Amino acid sequence: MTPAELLVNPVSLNADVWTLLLVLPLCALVTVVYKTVRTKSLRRLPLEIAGVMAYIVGGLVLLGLGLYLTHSLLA
Amino acid sequence: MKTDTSKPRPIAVLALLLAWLAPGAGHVYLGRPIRGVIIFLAIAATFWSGVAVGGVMTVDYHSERWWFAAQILTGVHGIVGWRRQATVYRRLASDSQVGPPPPAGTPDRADWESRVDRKLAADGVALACPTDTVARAYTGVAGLLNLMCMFDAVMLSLLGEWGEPAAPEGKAGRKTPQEDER
Repeated sequence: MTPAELLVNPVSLNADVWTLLLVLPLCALVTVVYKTVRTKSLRRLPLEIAGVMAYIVGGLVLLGLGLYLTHSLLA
Repeated sequence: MKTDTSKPRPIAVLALLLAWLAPGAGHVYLGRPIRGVIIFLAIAATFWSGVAVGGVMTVDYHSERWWFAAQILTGVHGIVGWRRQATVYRRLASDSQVGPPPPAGTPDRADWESRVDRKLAADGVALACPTDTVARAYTGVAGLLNLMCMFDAVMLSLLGEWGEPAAPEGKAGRKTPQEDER
């Protein structure tokens, strides 16, 4: 795919578990904007972003595990 | 936060318009340029990452209006995406196999939409699952993030806040070096 086609033609994604990893950059960008708006001190921004990222990713993993276990038990 | 009484109160409507048009510009207007630049870069990265995944039809006014409502909240990014998609629809309207769109709600509309889908698929720009979900999630979330930034800019304007908030004191209640200098 050429750079000109990059923003015109869609890329081909498969509905597999690896596609779920695309949620990580989205979480990172959401965290950056949220903490940029909310933080009192820009000096602490990287640390606060890392903390919130850890919370979000940890929460998503726990949620996924919980749903997986629930699904397994009910199946 | 500091309230600078020597400067006039910020204009909330202007902050809202700037924050919508160019994400982060509302914060630059309020004297927070570093935050404004970070917001602009992060929202631009989020939106254009989505377009890179989904292509030109990611912003689709005709068939994905709820997503479009979120995407247009990114201001200039959403407008550029909308105009690029409108170019595709103009080209389709001049195509003899598709033609101009009939009014919404008419029986010909569904037939026209299926012709559009077939033509887009033939051109290789039609979106399919899960690509559409990823692309529209990125672009839609970019718009919702900018909505949060617009809200923050308006609230800061209504509170009369200019510039960065005062640096917080240390854990033991010590003043920061900047505060010692004052």
